Amino acid sequence: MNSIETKQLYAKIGDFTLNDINLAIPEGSIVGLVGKNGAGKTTLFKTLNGTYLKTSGEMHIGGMNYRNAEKEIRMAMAVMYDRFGGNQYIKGKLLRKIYLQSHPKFDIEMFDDLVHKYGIDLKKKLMNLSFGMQKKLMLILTLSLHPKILLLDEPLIGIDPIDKQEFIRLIQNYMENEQHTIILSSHQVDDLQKIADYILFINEGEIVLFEDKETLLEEYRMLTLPKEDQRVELMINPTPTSLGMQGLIRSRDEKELEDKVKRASLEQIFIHICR
Amino acid sequence: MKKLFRFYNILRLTAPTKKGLVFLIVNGIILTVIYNRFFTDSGVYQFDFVLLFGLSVLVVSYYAYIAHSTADNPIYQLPWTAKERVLYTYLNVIFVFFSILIGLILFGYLMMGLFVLLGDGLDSGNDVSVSLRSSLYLIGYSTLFFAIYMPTSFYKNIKRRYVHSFIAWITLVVVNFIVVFILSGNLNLSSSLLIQLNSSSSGLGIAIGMLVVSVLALYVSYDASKRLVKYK
Repeated sequence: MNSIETKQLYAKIGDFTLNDINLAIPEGSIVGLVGKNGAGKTTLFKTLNGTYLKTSGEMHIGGMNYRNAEKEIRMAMAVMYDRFGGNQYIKGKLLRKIYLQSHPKFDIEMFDDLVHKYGIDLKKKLMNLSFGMQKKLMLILTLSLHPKILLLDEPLIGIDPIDKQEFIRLIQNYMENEQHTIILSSHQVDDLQKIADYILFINEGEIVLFEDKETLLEEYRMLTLPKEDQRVELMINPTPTSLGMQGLIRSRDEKELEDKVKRASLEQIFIHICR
Repeated sequence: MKKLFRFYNILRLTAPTKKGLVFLIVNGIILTVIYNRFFTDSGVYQFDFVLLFGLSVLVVSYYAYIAHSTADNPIYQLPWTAKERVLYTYLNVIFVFFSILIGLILFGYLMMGLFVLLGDGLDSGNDVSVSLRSSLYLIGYSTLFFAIYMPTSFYKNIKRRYVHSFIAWITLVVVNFIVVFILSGNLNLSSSLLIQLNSSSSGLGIAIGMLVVSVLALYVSYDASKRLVKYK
Protein backbone atom coordinates (compact mmCIF):
# COMPACT_ATOMS: atom_id res chain seq x y z
CA MET A 1 0.00 0.00 0.00
CA ASN A 2 1.15 3.53 -0.71
CA SER A 3 1.28 6.06 2.13
CA ILE A 4 1.20 9.00 -0.20
CA GLU A 5 -0.08 8.97 -3.74
CA THR A 6 -0.51 11.90 -6.07
CA LYS A 7 -1.58 11.97 -9.70
CA GLN A 8 -1.03 15.00 -11.92
CA LEU A 9 -1.11 17.24 -8.88
CA TYR A 10 -0.96 20.97 -9.57
CA ALA A 11 -0.86 23.72 -6.97
CA LYS A 12 -0.40 27.43 -7.61
CA ILE A 13 0.79 29.49 -4.67
CA GLY A 14 1.40 33.13 -5.59
CA ASP A 15 3.89 33.09 -8.44
CA PHE A 16 5.09 29.58 -7.69
CA THR A 17 3.56 26.45 -9.22
CA LEU A 18 3.91 22.79 -8.37
CA ASN A 19 3.60 21.07 -11.71
CA ASP A 20 2.36 17.61 -12.54
CA ILE A 21 3.45 15.92 -9.31
CA ASN A 22 3.13 12.14 -9.60
CA LEU A 23 4.18 10.23 -6.53
CA ALA A 24 3.63 6.76 -5.13
CA ILE A 25 5.45 6.47 -1.81
CA PRO A 26 5.28 2.96 -0.35
CA GLU A 27 4.35 2.47 3.29
CA GLY A 28 7.34 1.97 5.58
CA SER A 29 9.84 3.88 3.49
CA ILE A 30 12.10 6.85 4.10
CA VAL A 31 12.11 9.28 1.21
CA GLY A 32 14.87 11.85 0.90
CA LEU A 33 13.57 15.01 -0.76
CA VAL A 34 16.35 16.99 -2.38
CA GLY A 35 16.17 20.29 -4.20
CA LYS A 36 17.80 23.69 -4.47
CA ASN A 37 16.53 26.64 -2.43
CA GLY A 38 13.15 27.62 -3.85
CA ALA A 39 12.77 24.34 -5.74
CA GLY A 40 9.42 23.63 -4.08
CA LYS A 41 10.28 21.29 -1.20
CA THR A 42 8.39 23.23 1.48
CA THR A 43 5.56 24.01 -0.95
CA LEU A 44 5.20 20.28 -1.61
CA PHE A 45 5.03 19.64 2.15
CA LYS A 46 2.45 22.37 2.64
CA THR A 47 0.36 21.00 -0.21
CA LEU A 48 0.57 17.46 1.18
CA ASN A 49 -0.41 18.87 4.58
CA GLY A 50 -3.50 20.44 3.01
CA THR A 51 -2.60 24.01 3.90
CA TYR A 52 -1.94 25.03 0.32
CA LEU A 53 -4.97 24.06 -1.67
CA LYS A 54 -4.26 22.06 -4.79
CA THR A 55 -5.47 23.51 -8.07
CA SER A 56 -6.09 20.18 -9.77
CA GLY A 57 -5.12 16.53 -9.71
CA GLU A 58 -5.48 13.84 -7.10
CA MET A 59 -3.86 13.46 -3.71
CA HIS A 60 -4.32 10.55 -1.32
CA ILE A 61 -2.71 10.36 2.10
CA GLY A 62 -2.95 6.88 3.63
CA GLY A 63 -5.60 6.14 1.03
CA MET A 64 -7.73 9.11 2.17
CA ASN A 65 -8.29 12.59 0.77
CA TYR A 66 -8.84 15.94 2.46
CA ARG A 67 -12.31 16.42 1.02
CA ASN A 68 -13.90 13.75 3.19
CA ALA A 69 -11.30 12.64 5.75
CA GLU A 70 -9.33 15.69 6.85
CA LYS A 71 -9.47 14.81 10.54
CA GLU A 72 -8.24 11.26 9.90
CA ILE A 73 -5.41 12.53 7.71
CA ARG A 74 -4.33 15.05 10.33
CA MET A 75 -4.33 12.26 12.92
CA ALA A 76 -2.22 10.06 10.66
CA MET A 77 0.27 12.67 9.44
CA ALA A 78 2.47 15.20 11.18
CA VAL A 79 4.77 17.84 9.76
CA MET A 80 7.82 19.47 11.22
CA TYR A 81 8.84 22.60 9.34
CA ASP A 82 12.30 24.16 9.38
CA ARG A 83 11.08 26.66 11.98
CA PHE A 84 8.18 26.91 14.40
CA GLY A 85 5.51 28.82 12.48
CA GLY A 86 3.57 29.96 15.53
CA ASN A 87 3.97 32.37 18.40
CA GLN A 88 7.61 32.40 19.54
CA TYR A 89 6.64 34.12 22.79
CA ILE A 90 4.81 31.12 24.20
CA LYS A 91 6.55 28.68 26.53
CA GLY A 92 7.18 25.02 25.80
CA LYS A 93 4.84 24.03 28.62
CA LEU A 94 1.96 25.88 26.98
CA LEU A 95 2.63 24.07 23.73
CA ARG A 96 2.51 20.82 25.68
CA LYS A 97 -0.80 21.86 27.24
CA ILE A 98 -2.35 22.85 23.91
CA TYR A 99 -1.43 19.53 22.31
CA LEU A 100 -2.72 17.67 25.35
CA GLN A 101 -6.05 19.51 25.08
CA SER A 102 -6.41 19.29 21.34
CA HIS A 103 -4.69 16.18 19.98
CA PRO A 104 -6.17 12.83 21.06
CA LYS A 105 -3.03 10.94 20.01
CA PHE A 106 -0.60 13.13 21.94
CA ASP A 107 1.54 10.80 24.08
CA ILE A 108 2.37 12.93 27.08
CA GLU A 109 4.54 10.27 28.72
CA MET A 110 6.71 9.90 25.64
CA PHE A 111 6.88 13.67 25.29
CA ASP A 112 7.91 14.19 28.92
CA ASP A 113 10.48 11.36 28.75
CA LEU A 114 12.14 12.73 25.62
CA VAL A 115 12.05 16.33 26.87
CA HIS A 116 13.73 15.20 30.08
CA LYS A 117 16.24 13.03 28.18
CA TYR A 118 17.32 15.88 25.93
CA GLY A 119 17.29 18.50 28.70
CA ILE A 120 14.77 20.88 27.14
CA ASP A 121 13.53 23.57 29.51
CA LEU A 122 9.77 23.89 28.95
CA LYS A 123 9.62 26.95 31.19
CA LYS A 124 11.55 28.95 28.62
CA LYS A 125 9.86 30.86 25.84
CA LEU A 126 10.47 29.25 22.46
CA MET A 127 12.37 32.33 21.31
CA ASN A 128 14.82 31.84 24.18
CA LEU A 129 15.64 28.25 23.27
CA SER A 130 18.67 27.69 21.09
CA PHE A 131 17.98 26.78 17.46
CA GLY A 132 18.97 23.15 18.05
CA MET A 133 16.84 22.91 21.21
CA GLN A 134 13.84 24.41 19.44
CA LYS A 135 14.23 21.91 16.61
CA LYS A 136 14.54 19.05 19.07
CA LEU A 137 11.38 20.20 20.85
CA MET A 138 9.53 20.37 17.53
CA LEU A 139 10.68 16.88 16.58
CA ILE A 140 9.74 15.46 19.99
CA LEU A 141 6.34 17.13 19.77
CA THR A 142 5.81 15.70 16.30
CA LEU A 143 6.94 12.18 17.23
CA SER A 144 4.74 12.23 20.35
CA LEU A 145 1.72 12.36 18.05
CA HIS A 146 2.61 8.85 16.79
CA PRO A 147 2.01 9.78 13.17
CA LYS A 148 2.02 7.07 10.53
CA ILE A 149 3.38 9.58 8.06
CA LEU A 150 5.98 12.12 9.04
CA LEU A 151 7.09 15.05 6.90
CA LEU A 152 10.34 16.61 8.07
CA ASP A 153 11.40 19.84 6.42
CA GLU A 154 15.12 20.47 6.81
CA PRO A 155 15.33 18.83 10.25
CA LEU A 156 19.12 18.56 10.15
CA ILE A 157 20.00 22.07 9.07
CA GLY A 158 21.68 24.39 11.57
CA ILE A 159 22.28 21.83 14.27
CA ASP A 160 25.60 20.57 15.57
CA PRO A 161 26.92 17.07 14.74
CA ILE A 162 26.08 15.64 18.18
CA ASP A 163 22.49 16.85 17.99
CA LYS A 164 22.35 15.60 14.42
CA GLN A 165 23.25 12.07 15.54
CA GLU A 166 20.55 12.26 18.21
CA PHE A 167 18.06 13.42 15.59
CA ILE A 168 18.94 10.56 13.30
CA ARG A 169 18.63 8.13 16.22
CA LEU A 170 15.16 9.48 17.05
CA ILE A 171 14.11 9.12 13.43
CA GLN A 172 15.51 5.59 13.23
CA ASN A 173 13.62 4.60 16.40
CA TYR A 174 10.46 5.96 14.84
CA MET A 175 11.09 3.87 11.72
CA GLU A 176 11.27 0.64 13.75
CA ASN A 177 7.55 0.43 13.13
CA GLU A 178 7.26 -0.86 9.57
CA GLN A 179 4.05 1.03 8.91
CA HIS A 180 5.72 4.40 9.42
CA THR A 181 6.74 6.53 6.46
CA ILE A 182 8.97 9.58 6.39
CA ILE A 183 9.63 12.22 3.77
CA LEU A 184 12.68 14.13 4.84
CA SER A 185 13.96 17.15 2.99
CA SER A 186 17.53 18.26 3.33
CA HIS A 187 20.35 20.06 1.59
CA GLN A 188 22.73 17.70 3.33
CA VAL A 189 22.56 15.00 0.71
CA ASP A 190 25.23 12.86 2.42
CA ASP A 191 22.95 12.44 5.42
CA LEU A 192 20.08 11.40 3.19
CA GLN A 193 22.30 8.88 1.47
CA LYS A 194 22.77 7.19 4.86
CA ILE A 195 19.13 6.89 5.85
CA ALA A 196 16.82 7.19 2.83
CA ASP A 197 15.30 4.29 0.88
CA TYR A 198 14.02 6.45 -1.95
CA ILE A 199 15.32 9.69 -3.40
CA LEU A 200 13.12 12.44 -4.78
CA PHE A 201 14.70 15.30 -6.70
CA ILE A 202 12.57 18.39 -7.17
CA ASN A 203 13.45 21.41 -9.30
CA GLU A 204 11.38 24.49 -10.17
CA GLY A 205 8.23 22.86 -8.85
CA GLU A 206 8.60 19.68 -10.85
CA ILE A 207 9.74 16.21 -9.93
CA VAL A 208 12.96 15.54 -11.78
CA LEU A 209 13.54 12.08 -10.41
CA PHE A 210 11.96 9.65 -7.96
CA GLU A 211 13.92 6.46 -7.60
CA ASP A 212 14.91 3.72 -5.21
CA LYS A 213 18.24 4.86 -3.73
CA GLU A 214 20.20 1.72 -4.56
CA THR A 215 18.90 1.68 -8.14
CA LEU A 216 19.78 5.34 -8.47
CA LEU A 217 23.31 4.84 -7.22
CA GLU A 218 23.72 1.92 -9.61
CA GLU A 219 22.32 3.91 -12.52
CA TYR A 220 24.90 6.68 -12.58
CA ARG A 221 28.69 6.88 -12.60
CA MET A 222 31.15 9.78 -12.39
CA LEU A 223 34.06 10.21 -14.70
CA THR A 224 36.59 12.75 -15.89
CA LEU A 225 37.72 12.95 -19.52
CA PRO A 226 40.07 15.26 -21.41
CA LYS A 227 38.22 18.25 -22.80
CA GLU A 228 38.81 17.22 -26.38
CA ASP A 229 37.51 13.66 -25.84
CA GLN A 230 34.42 13.15 -28.03
CA ARG A 231 32.82 10.90 -25.42
CA VAL A 232 32.18 14.00 -23.28
CA GLU A 233 28.90 14.09 -25.21
CA LEU A 234 27.73 11.10 -23.18
CA MET A 235 28.00 13.12 -19.96
CA ILE A 236 25.06 14.74 -18.20
CA ASN A 237 25.81 18.42 -17.47
CA PRO A 238 29.64 18.11 -17.57
CA THR A 239 31.72 20.60 -15.58
CA PRO A 240 35.19 21.83 -16.62
CA THR A 241 37.86 21.04 -14.00
CA SER A 242 41.68 21.27 -13.97
CA LEU A 243 41.81 17.59 -14.98
CA GLY A 244 39.36 17.94 -17.85
CA MET A 245 35.58 17.59 -18.10
CA GLN A 246 33.90 15.98 -15.13
CA GLY A 247 30.40 14.63 -15.42
CA LEU A 248 27.81 12.02 -14.79
CA ILE A 249 27.09 9.14 -17.14
CA ARG A 250 24.50 6.41 -17.16
CA SER A 251 25.79 2.95 -16.22
CA ARG A 252 24.68 1.59 -19.61
CA ASP A 253 27.31 3.86 -21.23
CA GLU A 254 29.97 2.66 -18.84
CA LYS A 255 31.20 -0.14 -21.14
CA GLU A 256 32.65 2.36 -23.56
CA LEU A 257 34.63 4.05 -20.82
CA GLU A 258 35.64 1.09 -18.68
CA ASP A 259 38.17 1.86 -15.97
CA LYS A 260 37.76 5.64 -16.05
CA VAL A 261 34.50 5.61 -14.10
CA LYS A 262 33.88 5.95 -10.36
CA ARG A 263 30.75 5.31 -8.33
CA ALA A 264 28.77 8.58 -8.07
CA SER A 265 27.59 9.91 -4.73
CA LEU A 266 24.03 11.12 -4.27
CA GLU A 267 25.31 14.68 -4.05
CA GLN A 268 27.11 14.37 -7.40
CA ILE A 269 24.03 12.90 -9.02
CA PHE A 270 21.91 15.74 -7.62
CA ILE A 271 24.33 18.46 -8.73
CA HIS A 272 24.58 17.18 -12.29
CA ILE A 273 20.90 16.39 -12.77
CA CYS A 274 19.41 19.49 -11.16
CA ARG A 275 21.93 22.08 -12.33
CA MET B 1 -14.25 24.32 30.51
CA LYS B 2 -11.27 22.74 28.75
CA LYS B 3 -13.04 23.15 25.41
CA LEU B 4 -13.63 26.80 26.16
CA PHE B 5 -9.94 27.42 26.69
CA ARG B 6 -9.11 25.51 23.54
CA PHE B 7 -10.62 28.40 21.57
CA TYR B 8 -8.49 30.88 23.41
CA ASN B 9 -5.38 28.76 22.90
CA ILE B 10 -5.86 28.86 19.13
CA LEU B 11 -5.29 32.59 19.37
CA ARG B 12 -2.26 32.14 21.60
CA LEU B 13 -0.61 29.82 19.08
CA THR B 14 -0.61 32.61 16.54
CA ALA B 15 1.74 35.55 16.80
CA PRO B 16 0.52 39.00 15.75
CA THR B 17 2.37 40.21 12.66
CA LYS B 18 2.14 43.11 10.22
CA LYS B 19 0.05 40.89 7.95
CA GLY B 20 -3.52 42.17 8.06
CA LEU B 21 -2.72 44.91 10.57
CA VAL B 22 -3.58 47.80 8.24
CA PHE B 23 -6.86 46.06 7.41
CA LEU B 24 -7.60 45.77 11.14
CA ILE B 25 -6.84 49.42 11.89
CA VAL B 26 -8.77 50.78 8.88
CA ASN B 27 -11.81 48.68 9.73
CA GLY B 28 -11.58 49.57 13.43
CA ILE B 29 -11.72 53.28 12.55
CA ILE B 30 -14.62 52.80 10.11
CA LEU B 31 -16.53 50.77 12.72
CA THR B 32 -16.10 53.50 15.36
CA VAL B 33 -17.07 56.32 12.99
CA ILE B 34 -20.15 54.60 11.53
CA TYR B 35 -21.37 53.39 14.90
CA ASN B 36 -21.08 56.80 16.49
CA ARG B 37 -22.60 58.52 13.47
CA PHE B 38 -25.80 56.48 13.70
CA PHE B 39 -26.16 55.48 17.33
CA THR B 40 -24.94 58.37 19.45
CA ASP B 41 -25.89 62.01 19.49
CA SER B 42 -23.97 63.99 16.93
CA GLY B 43 -20.52 65.08 18.01
CA VAL B 44 -20.33 62.68 20.97
CA TYR B 45 -18.10 59.65 20.56
CA GLN B 46 -18.69 56.84 23.00
CA PHE B 47 -17.39 53.37 23.61
CA ASP B 48 -19.90 50.75 24.66
CA PHE B 49 -20.56 47.03 24.44
CA VAL B 50 -21.42 47.21 20.72
CA LEU B 51 -18.03 48.69 19.89
CA LEU B 52 -16.37 46.26 22.30
CA PHE B 53 -18.03 43.38 20.49
CA GLY B 54 -17.13 44.89 17.10
CA LEU B 55 -13.50 45.19 18.13
CA SER B 56 -13.54 41.58 19.40
CA VAL B 57 -14.73 40.55 15.93
CA LEU B 58 -11.96 42.56 14.28
CA VAL B 59 -9.20 41.24 16.56
CA VAL B 60 -10.24 37.58 16.28
CA SER B 61 -10.62 37.99 12.54
CA TYR B 62 -7.10 39.46 12.39
CA TYR B 63 -5.63 36.46 14.23
CA ALA B 64 -7.70 34.01 12.22
CA TYR B 65 -6.52 35.59 8.98
CA ILE B 66 -2.87 35.21 10.04
CA ALA B 67 -3.44 31.61 11.11
CA HIS B 68 -5.32 30.62 7.99
CA SER B 69 -2.96 32.32 5.59
CA THR B 70 0.22 31.01 7.24
CA ALA B 71 0.69 27.48 5.98
CA ASP B 72 3.08 26.42 8.75
CA ASN B 73 0.85 27.69 11.55
CA PRO B 74 0.60 25.00 14.24
CA ILE B 75 -3.21 24.87 14.02
CA TYR B 76 -2.67 22.68 10.98
CA GLN B 77 -0.94 20.12 13.20
CA LEU B 78 -4.10 19.66 15.23
CA PRO B 79 -6.65 17.15 14.00
CA TRP B 80 -9.40 19.58 13.13
CA THR B 81 -11.31 19.82 9.91
CA ALA B 82 -11.60 23.08 7.97
CA LYS B 83 -15.20 23.27 9.22
CA GLU B 84 -14.05 23.00 12.84
CA ARG B 85 -11.41 25.67 12.36
CA VAL B 86 -14.13 28.02 11.08
CA LEU B 87 -16.45 27.11 13.97
CA TYR B 88 -13.69 27.71 16.56
CA THR B 89 -12.91 31.06 14.97
CA TYR B 90 -16.54 32.14 15.23
CA LEU B 91 -16.77 30.92 18.82
CA ASN B 92 -13.53 32.72 19.65
CA VAL B 93 -15.23 36.07 19.02
CA ILE B 94 -17.83 35.35 21.70
CA PHE B 95 -15.17 33.99 24.03
CA VAL B 96 -12.91 37.02 23.60
CA PHE B 97 -15.82 39.46 23.96
CA PHE B 98 -17.00 37.94 27.24
CA SER B 99 -13.44 37.62 28.56
CA ILE B 100 -12.83 41.33 27.98
CA LEU B 101 -16.27 42.21 29.32
CA ILE B 102 -15.70 40.25 32.53
CA GLY B 103 -12.25 41.80 32.80
CA LEU B 104 -13.69 45.28 32.40
CA ILE B 105 -16.47 44.62 34.94
CA LEU B 106 -13.93 43.39 37.49
CA PHE B 107 -11.72 46.37 36.73
CA GLY B 108 -14.77 48.65 37.05
CA TYR B 109 -15.67 47.19 40.44
CA LEU B 110 -12.09 47.60 41.58
CA MET B 111 -11.98 51.21 40.49
CA MET B 112 -15.40 51.88 42.00
CA GLY B 113 -14.21 50.36 45.27
CA LEU B 114 -11.15 52.59 45.22
CA PHE B 115 -13.28 55.69 44.61
CA VAL B 116 -15.54 54.73 47.49
CA LEU B 117 -12.57 54.16 49.77
CA LEU B 118 -10.62 57.25 48.76
CA GLY B 119 -13.31 59.70 47.65
CA ASP B 120 -16.69 61.04 48.64
CA GLY B 121 -18.66 58.16 47.19
CA LEU B 122 -20.20 57.87 43.79
CA ASP B 123 -22.33 60.38 42.02
CA SER B 124 -25.58 58.64 41.27
CA GLY B 125 -27.01 61.49 39.27
CA ASN B 126 -26.53 59.97 35.79
CA ASP B 127 -29.19 57.41 35.08
CA VAL B 128 -28.75 55.47 31.91
CA SER B 129 -32.08 54.34 30.56
CA VAL B 130 -31.94 51.17 28.51
CA SER B 131 -35.02 50.11 26.57
CA LEU B 132 -35.82 46.61 25.36
CA ARG B 133 -36.15 47.69 21.76
CA SER B 134 -32.81 49.54 21.62
CA SER B 135 -31.07 46.59 23.31
CA LEU B 136 -32.61 44.12 20.88
CA TYR B 137 -31.70 46.35 17.96
CA LEU B 138 -28.08 46.74 19.09
CA ILE B 139 -27.71 43.00 19.66
CA GLY B 140 -29.09 42.45 16.17
CA TYR B 141 -26.83 45.11 14.69
CA SER B 142 -23.74 43.62 16.39
CA THR B 143 -24.67 40.15 15.16
CA LEU B 144 -25.19 41.51 11.65
CA PHE B 145 -21.75 43.11 11.71
CA PHE B 146 -20.28 39.84 13.03
CA ALA B 147 -22.00 37.91 10.23
CA ILE B 148 -21.02 40.24 7.42
CA TYR B 149 -17.43 40.74 8.51
CA MET B 150 -16.30 37.25 9.60
CA PRO B 151 -15.79 35.69 6.14
CA THR B 152 -12.97 38.21 5.57
CA SER B 153 -10.89 36.06 7.96
CA PHE B 154 -10.77 33.23 5.46
CA TYR B 155 -9.81 34.95 2.21
CA LYS B 156 -6.34 34.14 0.96
CA ASN B 157 -6.53 36.90 -1.61
CA ILE B 158 -6.00 40.28 0.06
CA LYS B 159 -7.84 42.23 -2.67
CA ARG B 160 -10.96 40.13 -2.15
CA ARG B 161 -10.70 40.83 1.61
CA TYR B 162 -10.78 44.57 0.98
CA VAL B 163 -13.63 44.28 -1.55
CA HIS B 164 -15.64 42.16 0.91
CA SER B 165 -15.01 44.59 3.74
CA PHE B 166 -16.00 47.56 1.53
CA ILE B 167 -19.26 45.85 0.58
CA ALA B 168 -19.83 44.98 4.27
CA TRP B 169 -19.61 48.64 5.31
CA ILE B 170 -21.84 49.80 2.46
CA THR B 171 -24.40 47.16 3.45
CA LEU B 172 -24.37 48.24 7.12
CA VAL B 173 -24.76 51.92 6.22
CA VAL B 174 -27.59 51.13 3.78
CA VAL B 175 -29.34 49.00 6.44
CA ASN B 176 -29.08 51.88 8.93
CA PHE B 177 -30.49 54.37 6.44
CA ILE B 178 -33.36 52.03 5.55
CA VAL B 179 -34.24 51.81 9.26
CA VAL B 180 -34.02 55.59 9.61
CA PHE B 181 -36.30 55.96 6.59
CA ILE B 182 -38.85 53.50 7.98
CA LEU B 183 -38.83 55.29 11.33
CA SER B 184 -38.97 58.89 10.19
CA GLY B 185 -40.02 58.83 6.56
CA ASN B 186 -36.84 60.61 5.49
CA LEU B 187 -33.08 60.06 5.57
CA ASN B 188 -32.38 62.86 8.00
CA LEU B 189 -30.27 61.85 11.02
CA SER B 190 -31.26 64.71 13.30
CA SER B 191 -31.16 62.46 16.34
CA SER B 192 -29.61 59.10 17.09
CA LEU B 193 -31.19 56.05 15.50
CA LEU B 194 -31.87 54.63 18.96
CA ILE B 195 -33.81 57.71 20.05
CA GLN B 196 -35.89 57.48 16.87
CA LEU B 197 -36.40 53.78 17.51
CA ASN B 198 -37.63 54.41 21.07
CA SER B 199 -40.03 57.15 20.04
CA SER B 200 -41.56 55.28 17.11
CA SER B 201 -44.55 52.93 17.38
CA SER B 202 -42.89 50.49 14.96
CA GLY B 203 -39.61 50.51 16.93
CA LEU B 204 -40.07 47.14 18.63
CA GLY B 205 -41.05 45.45 15.37
CA ILE B 206 -37.95 46.83 13.66
CA ALA B 207 -35.72 45.71 16.52
CA ILE B 208 -37.12 42.16 16.37
CA GLY B 209 -36.84 42.23 12.57
CA MET B 210 -33.17 43.22 12.84
CA LEU B 211 -32.53 40.39 15.27
CA VAL B 212 -34.14 37.83 12.97
CA VAL B 213 -32.29 39.13 9.89
CA SER B 214 -28.98 39.09 11.76
CA VAL B 215 -29.44 35.48 12.90
CA LEU B 216 -30.17 34.46 9.31
CA ALA B 217 -27.15 36.46 8.13
CA LEU B 218 -24.97 34.65 10.68
CA TYR B 219 -26.07 31.32 9.29
CA VAL B 220 -25.29 32.45 5.73
CA SER B 221 -21.94 33.89 6.89
CA TYR B 222 -20.88 30.65 8.60
CA ASP B 223 -21.82 28.71 5.50
CA ALA B 224 -19.91 31.11 3.24
CA SER B 225 -16.82 30.90 5.47
CA LYS B 226 -16.91 27.10 5.36
CA ARG B 227 -17.08 27.24 1.58
CA LEU B 228 -14.05 29.55 1.47
CA VAL B 229 -11.85 26.96 3.19
CA LYS B 230 -13.39 23.89 1.63
CA TYR B 231 -11.13 21.38 -0.13
CA LYS B 232 -11.78 20.85 -3.81
